[in-house]
Parts: sequence; structure tokens; C-alpha cells
Amino acid sequence: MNSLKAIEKDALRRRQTYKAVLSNPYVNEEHLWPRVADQALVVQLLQKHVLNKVAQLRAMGTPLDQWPLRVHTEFNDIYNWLQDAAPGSSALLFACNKDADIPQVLMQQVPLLAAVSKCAVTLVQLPRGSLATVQKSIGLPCGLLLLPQEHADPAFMKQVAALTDPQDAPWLQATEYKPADVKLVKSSAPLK
Amino acid sequence: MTTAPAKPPKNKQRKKKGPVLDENGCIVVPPPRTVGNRDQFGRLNYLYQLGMFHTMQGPAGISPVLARRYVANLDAISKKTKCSVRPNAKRTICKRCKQLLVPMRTCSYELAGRTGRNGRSTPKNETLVVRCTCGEAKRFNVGADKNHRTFDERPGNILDT
Repeated sequence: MNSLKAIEKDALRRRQTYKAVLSNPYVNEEHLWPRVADQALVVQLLQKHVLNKVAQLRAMGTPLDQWPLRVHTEFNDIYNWLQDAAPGSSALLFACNKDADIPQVLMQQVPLLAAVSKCAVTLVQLPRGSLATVQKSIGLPCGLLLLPQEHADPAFMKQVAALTDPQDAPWLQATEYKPADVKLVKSSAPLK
Repeated sequence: MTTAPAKPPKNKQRKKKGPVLDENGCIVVPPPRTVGNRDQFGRLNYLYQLGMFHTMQGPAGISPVLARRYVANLDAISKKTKCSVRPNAKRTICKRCKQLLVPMRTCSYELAGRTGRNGRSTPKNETLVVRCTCGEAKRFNVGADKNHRTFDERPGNILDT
């Protein structure tokens, strides 16, 4: 311990520490996103029924208000649509939640938005890398694509809904106590 | 003449095992088997769920007042007992009125673009504004770094007990 180098090395030495934190079962993302049975098939169906049509319309230069199908991609548009939707209506909400360049904070709100909305929203998570596929046809600034029922092919809606599990948000309907989910945060602290 | 093999020394010096280091030069310590303050964590968890139940009851009656009181207790207890709550749970609490933020019920969302010096808003200035019914707004600057993750959102930093 005489050399300055050794003293410096010892001063920099750290050890792992663990701290308990309370994780909230209501915001646990693993349970909030419904499982999709065949994600590759969902992407194919989306490509065939929506993206190809959108690409054609854009190539033809058709104004947005004359499109036969209505697609919402902006976060504020999607939020307003879900807020103002009539109770009997339904929609498909595709989310590229596993891709890079999508803010995590924004994505964390999406399952809750879909669950709280008055209309029936089928939340569909797309596989990793699908953002690039979708963006070839239409720009997704926040990785979300909302397709209301009125403008979509009913067979397509049925197929996608059949492949997706219903969203489970038990705290919104009734109370079911969930035991405390305590986790450990792994960190480091300097040695004294 | 054959020579007898050398006897091993009686006091065989064992090599001292040094601390195991990870790739960052940090001493590896196994995670603890038990977690302290379990009862306090249970208390916090119960208060949160009670707060959510009363929030979902609607704006009429005494429920919103109770919900805020329970969440205020949760906040106070977590500070006094030094029991941390994960950031994604804390983000659902209004700092001003201690209300649980549920979209379309107690808060609204907006993706706003702050205008820069030149008066234009760019994707880098995008901010997610979560506005509570009391008027308080939480702002998340989502445009600055779209791949930003909090410490506990990064893989490997959270372990199950």
C-alpha cells in the first residue's frame, strides 16, 4: 500500500450492492401487453391489408381526406381518438414496442390507454424490426398505428383479433389484491 | 540408485482466494437471500392498490379524497422508512395533489413540441406532457434521447427476490 498507484487503485475499487425496491404489479409491462400468437403472420396481414394500400395511395398522390381507409399515426391523434371514441366502436392499435428509437416512457402509457378507452381496442404488439417494414409505407413517428373499425376490412380485423389475447387489466374492473412484488436493484458502491 | 521423490511440505501454503471481480473491476457479491422491511413494502403495496381502487370508483363521493390520502401516506411512508418504489410506479403519482394518474380519468396526455430559439419545433424538442386534473404537469423530454432507459429499465439491473 505504499505506492501511489496502489492507493489510487484501492480508492477506485467498488463492490456490488443490492437495494430492495417495490415493483408495482399494475405497471408491470410483461403483463400489460397482450400476447400475440403468430407475430409474423400479423405483420404479413398488416402489410397485405393496410400498408400496401397506403403505399399505393401515397404513390398516386391522393389527398389524405379522400383515402378509403383512415390511419392514425400521431400520438395526439391516437389519444384524442381513443378519448372521444363511442362505446360501441372498436379499433386495432399496432405498437412497435420492441424497436429501438421508440421512447420507452411513451410506450409505457399505451397499454393503459387501450385499457381505459371506452371503445374496444385490440392492442397488437409487433415483433422487433417491424418498425422499418412499416416505415417503408407510412411514417410512424412514435411507433403506433391506429386503425379504426369503420375503415378497415372486417375479415382482417377478425383475423388479427383471433391471433391476439384479450388485454388483462384486472384493477380496472374489480379489486384483486396482489402481494407485494419486491425486487432488487443491482448497483455498486465504493469500498470504505 | 533411485532417488525417493521429494516429500510435499507439511505446512502447505494455500493460495489466498482474492475477491471475484466483474468486467468493470467491481467486487462481485451474491445477492442477499432475504429482504428487510418486507412488512413496510407490503404496506406500501396495499396503499397503492387501495389508492387505485378509489381512483377507479369515479369523481363522485369521498373516493377521490380517500385515494389522495392513501397515496400521500404511501409517499410519506416510503420516505420515512427508506423503502424505494420503482420509477415506473412513481411516475403514476401526481407530486402536487398525490393523485394516481390514470389517463382519461385523472390526467391527460399530450405530445408537445417545445419551440426552440428560431421558433420551430423539431423532433428533438418533443415532450410528453402528463397533465393532472389539478393543473400540475409532468414533462418527459422524449425527443432528446429516444433510447433513454432509466437505470432500472436497463437489462440486468433488476433481480427477483
